[in-house]
Amino acid sequence: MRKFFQKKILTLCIVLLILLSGFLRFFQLTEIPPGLYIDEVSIGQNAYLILTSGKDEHGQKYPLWFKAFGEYKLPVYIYTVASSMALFGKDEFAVRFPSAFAGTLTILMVFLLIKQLLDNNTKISKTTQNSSSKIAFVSAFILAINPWHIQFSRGGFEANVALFFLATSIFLFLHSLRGKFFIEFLMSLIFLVLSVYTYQPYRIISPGIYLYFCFYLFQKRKIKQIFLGTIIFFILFIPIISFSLSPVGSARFSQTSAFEEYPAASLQEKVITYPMVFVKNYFSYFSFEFLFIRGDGIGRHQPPYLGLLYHWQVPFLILGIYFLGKQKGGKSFSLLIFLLLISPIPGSLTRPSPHTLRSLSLVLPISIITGLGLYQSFHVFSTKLKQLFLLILFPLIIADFFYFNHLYYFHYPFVNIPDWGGGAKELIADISKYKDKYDAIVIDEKLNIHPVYFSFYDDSIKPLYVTSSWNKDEKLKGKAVLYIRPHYGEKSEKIIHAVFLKSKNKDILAEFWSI
Amino acid sequence: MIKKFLAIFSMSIPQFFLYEAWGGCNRFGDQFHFSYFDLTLRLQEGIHNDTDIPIFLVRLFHNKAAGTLLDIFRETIRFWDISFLISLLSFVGLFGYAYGIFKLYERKKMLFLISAIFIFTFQLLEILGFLRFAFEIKILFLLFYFDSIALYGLSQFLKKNFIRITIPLILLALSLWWIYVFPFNPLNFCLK
Repeated sequence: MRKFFQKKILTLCIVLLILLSGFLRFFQLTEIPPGLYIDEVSIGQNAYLILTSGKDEHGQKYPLWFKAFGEYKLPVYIYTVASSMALFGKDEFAVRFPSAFAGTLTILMVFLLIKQLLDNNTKISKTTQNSSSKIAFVSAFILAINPWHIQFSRGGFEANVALFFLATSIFLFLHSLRGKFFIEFLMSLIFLVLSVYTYQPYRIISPGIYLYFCFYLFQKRKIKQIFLGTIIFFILFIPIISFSLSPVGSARFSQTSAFEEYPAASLQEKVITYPMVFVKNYFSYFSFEFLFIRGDGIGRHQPPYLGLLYHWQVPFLILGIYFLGKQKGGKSFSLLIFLLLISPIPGSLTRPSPHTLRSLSLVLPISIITGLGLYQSFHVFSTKLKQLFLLILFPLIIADFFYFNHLYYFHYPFVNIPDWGGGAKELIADISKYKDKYDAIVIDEKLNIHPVYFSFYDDSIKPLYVTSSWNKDEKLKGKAVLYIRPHYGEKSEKIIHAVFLKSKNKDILAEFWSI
Repeated sequence: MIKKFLAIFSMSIPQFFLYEAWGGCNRFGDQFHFSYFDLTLRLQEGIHNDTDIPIFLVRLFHNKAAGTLLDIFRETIRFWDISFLISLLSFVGLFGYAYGIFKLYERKKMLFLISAIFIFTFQLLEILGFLRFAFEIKILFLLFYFDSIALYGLSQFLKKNFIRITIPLILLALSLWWIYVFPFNPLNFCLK
């Protein structure tokens, strides 16, 4: 009877946790972050074209690689957004919905993953095994409120969906060891491969995880399953291998390679320098400055003056590593350590480093280890000390949580407008009101509004891009021209409208000149 | 005896190069010191963005008490940042320190507690600007604390075991390789 009620309470807690995660990821999703940034718009536009015509913006029919701006986006997120647009229409919500939804489901996957990991592990202490649900819940809760994960769940980031696929794959693999092995193992492989086709760094992380799976199965003497699994994994992986080795596929790596900053004249110099560049970048992902103080400094990746994790997590992260080290036996814990160690590798090969998006998979082992540290340290105390512990800890958690949300909802949308499209949507909406009165629309390139924004928000507007020194020339003589330019402080009767940013200073984004 | 010799040998070579580099410094960088002026500017910026919000909420999220505690916390964890510790100890020293702290906690809890109180007090006083003596002495204090635990850790780790001997030697090679490629620039952490 007692177990029945405990199970009911646990189910209720998980449901409430999922609802909380969903709320944190969906609330004002289209307003915060304030506008779509250029990759989101590109994804949205390609998804819409796929949905309506079956072709991408470059005319390729149902491509596996989307050329976009020349960086060749991976397909899964774009096709997911196409499905989302079929439900919600062509808008910001549809672009961000798959990421927010995957982010919410990741919390459930993490709970299931940890519970399965602890249930499978017969060599850990009985206390830990009996508390598997509680440890899993605490870790999932930490991930649910985690600033790093929330930030990327609320934008159209492929990395977040890839993370969900990775978590699901690991859960299915762990579950397969106790249940219907081959079907679940196959599904685990499929999700692992899906992550590779969703976000670039998983070309390294997912094969690494698969090698871990093989190593684990090898120790269980499941050679036939390794053989079959490898064939399936390899077959599904062939397209991305051949793409990565092609000139187009390797061009992306050249653009972002960390080694480009360290020119080396000879092979000898490269052999000496490049490994240390990698080591330097690798260790930067474990820097407290990166994790707890300022992140990677890119405005799209975290609110200003905030790190990726909460301040109160510091001691529990360290304690979690300590408790992991103390747990005797259990190869399942090595999976956590392996994920922790492999996650920074792709980001370490690229610049800038550290990079919060490319290392997003780190958030999984960090949240789990913190949860383990928190739960275990709580249980070390006597009852009275437990109360004191909670009395100190809870206010800290709540204070940190509300501080993050305050900065995220009340500062970030106004301070970080340039990182999220710079007011492009509002500008295009205003242009739409005037476009019918003019023969041509001319836009100063200094406004940095890429043509894809016009394609997404109003395809009927085809502006001509000019430099700041533009004057109306012969080609437009006799035509009514709407000239859109930044505010340079001039006063003129030709200025018919001004577009203001939603910043607190009400800065002028652009002026409309009628010439 | 051999364990201790190996531990000292592994630590001392990279430490020589690193200490030489630190010798050019005059004081720790500003990121390690609490600044009331910076805090005030940041709070003003925060308050400026909080228009149309009830004043008690503005004060709740942007006040000097919480801001001071947060700043001191951040400056403290900067002393424990991996890049700072590598610049102070090198890879082999950092490994030795991590293992040493683990063993110290397991076996000598009182000593662990005393050393923790020592280092956190030192860091707090430095952050608040109360340590007004020569930088060389401050560095010596820090190195005394970290190196003694690192040496203890390395001597505990080293055993008559191929892996247990190879790991510190690999880390020593890595440390020297690192110092060769990235000659330590202390200006990341200190001022001349």
